[in-house]
Amino acid sequence: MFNGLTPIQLYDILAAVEPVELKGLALLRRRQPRRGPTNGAGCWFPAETSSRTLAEAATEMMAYLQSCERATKRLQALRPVPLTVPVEEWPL
Amino acid sequence: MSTATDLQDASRLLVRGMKQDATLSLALVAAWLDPLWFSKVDPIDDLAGNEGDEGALTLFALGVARTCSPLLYVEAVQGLRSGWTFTQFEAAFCAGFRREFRFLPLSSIEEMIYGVPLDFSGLEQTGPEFASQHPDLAAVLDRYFDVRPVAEPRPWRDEPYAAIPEADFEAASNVARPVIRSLVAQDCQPYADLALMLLYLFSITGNSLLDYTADDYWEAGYEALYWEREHLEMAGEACREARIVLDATDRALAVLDARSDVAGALAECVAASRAALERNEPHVTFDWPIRGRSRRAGQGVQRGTGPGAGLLLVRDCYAQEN
Repeated sequence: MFNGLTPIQLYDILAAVEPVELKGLALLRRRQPRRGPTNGAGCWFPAETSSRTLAEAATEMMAYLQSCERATKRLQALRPVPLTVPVEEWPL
Repeated sequence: MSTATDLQDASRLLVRGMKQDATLSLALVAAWLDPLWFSKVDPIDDLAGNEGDEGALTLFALGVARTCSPLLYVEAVQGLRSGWTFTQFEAAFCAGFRREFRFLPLSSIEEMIYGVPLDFSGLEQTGPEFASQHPDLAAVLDRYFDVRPVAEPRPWRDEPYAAIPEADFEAASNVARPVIRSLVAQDCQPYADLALMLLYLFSITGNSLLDYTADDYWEAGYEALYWEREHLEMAGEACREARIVLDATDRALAVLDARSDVAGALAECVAASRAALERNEPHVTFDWPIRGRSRRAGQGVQRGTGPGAGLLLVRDCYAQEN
C-alpha cells in the first residue's frame, strides 16, 4: 500500500529517469557540424542529413515539445499541498 | 592570440560541450529542428496590417508548414539558414508545397493569407459569355439538348445580349439526368467520360470546384479553408477529382467528334429521355454502342487523371448513388 513519498525519495526517482531518446538527439550525437568557415548557423547543427530524416525527427520533436508544454500546464494547475509539519525557517 | 580559424571553430567546441549535457542537447535539437517553437510572435497576428512585409510573410509561411508539412518546414528552415532571400524562399516554398500537395495551386505566399487556394472551374451556362468561353460545351447543349442562346432586347446596350434562358437550361438538366444515370451504369469507357462531361455541363458533379464559379462560391457564404493538414488533403482530393472531370470532358468531346455511333446514341437517348419526361413515364431504356468499350481502369491510376481515373471516379462517386 502506498503511504507517500519523502522529498528525498522523489528526488532519487526523478534523478534515475533516463533522458528521453529522440531521433533528433541521436542525429546530433552521430553527425558533426560543418567544418571551416560557414555563414549563418551552419556550424552549429549537424550537416548532411536528408530532409526526410529531418522531417521525422522534427515531427517527433514537435510532439515532444507539445507534450512537455501540456505537462507543464497540468503541473501549474496543481493545487498546493498544505504542510502538516512545522517549518521554523519559513518566516526568516 | 586566437586565429580566425580558432574563433570559427569555437562553435564546434561549444557544440561538443553541449552534447554532453542532456538539457543543453535537447535545447540545441529544439533550436535546430523546430526554431518556431521559440518564437513569441503569433504568425497570424503579426501578419495583420503587415501583409506586404516579407518577414511577416515568411513567419506565416513557416507557421503553415510547421502545422501542415514537417518536410516542407525543415526544408524551408534549412534554406533560410543557408541565406535564402525572400524571393528564393517564396519560390522554393511554393514549389515544395505543390510537390507535396500536387493538385493545389500556390504561386505566392501572399495568396496564402486568404486561406487554402482553390481553382474554381464552374460554368455560367445562362450567362452571355458562356458560348464564347466554352464553345464546345455550348455546342453540346445546342446539338443534343436543343438549348441555345436567345437574343434579348437591351436598348441601353451597344452590343446585342444573348444568353441561354434559365428555364430552357433547367429543362435540359432534367432531361440529362436519366441519360447520365444510364451512362454511369455502363461502367466502362468512353461512357464514364461522357457521364462526367454531362455532370460538369449541368453543374451537378457534387464538387464545389466544378459546380460553382469563384464569385458564386464566395457569394454563397462559404468560408475559406484554414491551413490545417486535413483541410489541405481534402482540398487536394477535390482538386484532383476536378482535374479528372475536366480531362474527362475533353476526352468526351473528342469522342463525340470522332465517333458518329456514340454521338448518334447520345442524341437518341436524350430524345428518348425527353419523350419519357413529357409522357411522365418513370422508366426508359437507353442503348449504347458496344464497340470500343473498356472496363479496365488500369494500374497506377490512383494519382492520375486519365481514362482509368475517370472510370474509377464514376464507380466511387456516382455508381453508388445509382
